[in-house]
Amino acid sequence: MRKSTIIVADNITTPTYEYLCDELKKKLGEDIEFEYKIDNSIIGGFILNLDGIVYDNSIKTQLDRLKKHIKNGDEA
Amino acid sequence: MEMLESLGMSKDLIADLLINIVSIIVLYLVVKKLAYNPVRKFLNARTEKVEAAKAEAQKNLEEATEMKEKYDELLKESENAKAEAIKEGINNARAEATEILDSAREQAKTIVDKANKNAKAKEQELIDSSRDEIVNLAIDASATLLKRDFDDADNKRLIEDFLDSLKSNGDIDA
Amino acid sequence: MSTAELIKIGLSVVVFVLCLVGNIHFKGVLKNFGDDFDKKKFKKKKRLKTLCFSGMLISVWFAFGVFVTWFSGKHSGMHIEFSMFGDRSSVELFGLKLGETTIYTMIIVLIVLVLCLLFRFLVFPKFKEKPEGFQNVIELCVETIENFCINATDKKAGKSLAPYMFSLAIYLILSASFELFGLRAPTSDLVVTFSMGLLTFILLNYHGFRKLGFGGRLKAMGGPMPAMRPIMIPMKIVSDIAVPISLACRLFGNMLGGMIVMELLKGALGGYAAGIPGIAGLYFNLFHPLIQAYIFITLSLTFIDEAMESSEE
Repeated sequence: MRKSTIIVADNITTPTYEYLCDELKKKLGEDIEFEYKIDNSIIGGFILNLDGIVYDNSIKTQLDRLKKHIKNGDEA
Repeated sequence: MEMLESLGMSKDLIADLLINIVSIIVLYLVVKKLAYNPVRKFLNARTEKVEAAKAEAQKNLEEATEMKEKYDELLKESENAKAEAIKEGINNARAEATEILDSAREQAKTIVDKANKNAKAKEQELIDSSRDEIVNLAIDASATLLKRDFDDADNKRLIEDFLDSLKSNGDIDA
Repeated sequence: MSTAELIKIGLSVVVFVLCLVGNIHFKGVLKNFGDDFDKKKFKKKKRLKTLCFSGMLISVWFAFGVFVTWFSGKHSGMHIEFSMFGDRSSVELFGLKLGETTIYTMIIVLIVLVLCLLFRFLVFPKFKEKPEGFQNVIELCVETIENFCINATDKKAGKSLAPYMFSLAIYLILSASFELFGLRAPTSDLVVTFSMGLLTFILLNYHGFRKLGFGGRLKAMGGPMPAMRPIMIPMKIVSDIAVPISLACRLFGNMLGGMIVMELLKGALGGYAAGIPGIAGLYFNLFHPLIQAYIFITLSLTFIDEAMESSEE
């Protein structure tokens, strides 16, 4: 059983969360056990932790990336 | 003899005459040899000495004048040389001063440039940091807005996008 | 002493005392004049004082004269005797009696010889570079005579004549001083002066012939026009001979005249001849002979110079 943690914000509904888990199971294997954590600082989206790999789809991160992009874009 | 005697002269008188002449001649010789000549010689010698002294004095005077002229010339030359040396010294000093001034100016310029650069850099820093701040503020403002606005449907959309990316790659693309 | 003489002496004593008093009085007056000087008054008082002093002297002389006259019995108007030549003395030479003036001349020569010897070996070695006192005088004499001779004639003759003129001057001065002692001066003897004149004559001929040559001298004596020569030359010779004679007579006459005047004075004063002949002697026996000496030397030089003149000058 692979353990995986998903970090979500509390604007996600349970069905949506379960939808995500089911789809992930379908894609990546049945033997994943998902666990969720709530962190409102990510604002929206989710951060998936699986097999030691982190898939970060949080809004926060995207905003950060945007920040960086804007900042770096001026430098470039 | 008789003729002379008739004139009233006698042999005695003739003898007297001759003896007198001899006496006077003797007197003359005595005075000349013993008194006159020595004094004459003495005076001549002294005149010669005086003349010699005068001539020598003249020679010395001429020599002295010559030497004085030579010294005057030397003095003038040395004064010229001195003036020259002074001028040169002044010029040198001036050149040095100019050099010093120039290098000082350069240094000052360098410092000023550095300062300017620093100031500019600081300015830029300030600008950058201000910009970053603005960006941060903007994004944070956006985040705050989003936070209010973000709903489950948006979540679902994100999930769908993520799942699609899984699909196309056969692997996970982060 | 006779009464006349006593009266004379008494008078002179009185006059003497009066003048003495006056002299002292005026001396005091003059001293008290102080600062307020009235020149005229001062001079007047001074004159009076001098007058009193002279009065003193005259009275003394007078008294003395009276005394001497009384004492020696000399009276004025003595008989005086002169001769043209000096007296014959008692000195004999080769059987000829020499005149006393010749003796005097030889004495003068002796005196001069001694003096010159003294000078040569005592005074002259001490001559200094810068002359002082006596040395100054001697140098002055020598230089003056030399310049005088050179001016009168020419340089060469003058230089050789100077010592002769110098010795002549010494001789003439010394012989004049003989007169002061009452002896007959050599220069008042015709023999002596003639010998001096002869010497001058010899000198002038010698210099004349030396300078002009024998023919030249004759030419000079002849005068500018050759035609006149035969007449001129004898005349010139005669006038040349006259030179020494004139010199001799001039000197002799002056000296003798002086001597005669002095003797007359002495004779006239008799016993009163105290002091006055001395004063007169100052002129007749000192000054007058000096002038004559000067004239003799100058004339000698002039004649010598004239003999040296050539007709072209």
